[in-house]
Amino acid sequence: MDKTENGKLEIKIIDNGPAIVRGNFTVTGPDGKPVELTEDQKITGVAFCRCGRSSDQPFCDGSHTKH
Amino acid sequence: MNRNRKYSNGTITVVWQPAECIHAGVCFSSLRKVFDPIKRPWVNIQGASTEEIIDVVERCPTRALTFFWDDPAKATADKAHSPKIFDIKELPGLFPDPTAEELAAKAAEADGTAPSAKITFRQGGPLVVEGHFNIIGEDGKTIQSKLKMASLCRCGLSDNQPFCDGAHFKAGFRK
Repeated sequence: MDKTENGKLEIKIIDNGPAIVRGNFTVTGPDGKPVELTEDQKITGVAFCRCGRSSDQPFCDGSHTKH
Repeated sequence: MNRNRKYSNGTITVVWQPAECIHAGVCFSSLRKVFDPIKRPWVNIQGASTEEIIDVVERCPTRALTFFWDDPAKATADKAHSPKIFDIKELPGLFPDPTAEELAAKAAEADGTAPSAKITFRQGGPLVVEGHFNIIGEDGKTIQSKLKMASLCRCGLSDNQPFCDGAHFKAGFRK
């Protein structure tokens, strides 16, 4: 992962959807252990669930589009 | 990370252990020339005489501030070190060598590969972001660029989206 232009992480909030994070960052789980990101996630960015309904917390699994 | 610090004027070394501090304020209200919490470092060991410093360090109600003589042979007032240091052998343990993790983090800072931010997800709570980040909307407009720390809603119930407002707690969100 590389840093974005001004070195800051970019967090894009999608309306009624996830928060997409791109840049150079680490993710830590509730137990304090680092969460490994997939190669895809490192390239395209990580989608974090904002609706509370994902079964793959903290990541988005598309549940926000389902009723 | 070890936050203990040592300050020496060549005659004595003052040891600061922030974890022990109860913020009674005796130090900075008695000898502001040496103990000034606004400055970094907050202890100016050259700011007063050794005797004045020992007097104030001994008035600290906890072991947050203690002192020892750099050369015990030169100790005066019948004490080789602060009576609050129960055993001088404890001292090296207060300043352990940096762990492998701390060294790796320092190296990453130095060569620019340190992450811009750290994201922690709390079970039943928000996504906490710390570091350098921009929060932008879908349209590209900046929502917030000046924060060093933010809690983002994960439960969907906050009235202050995208930020947490505690709604997860009232709703019993556990994910």
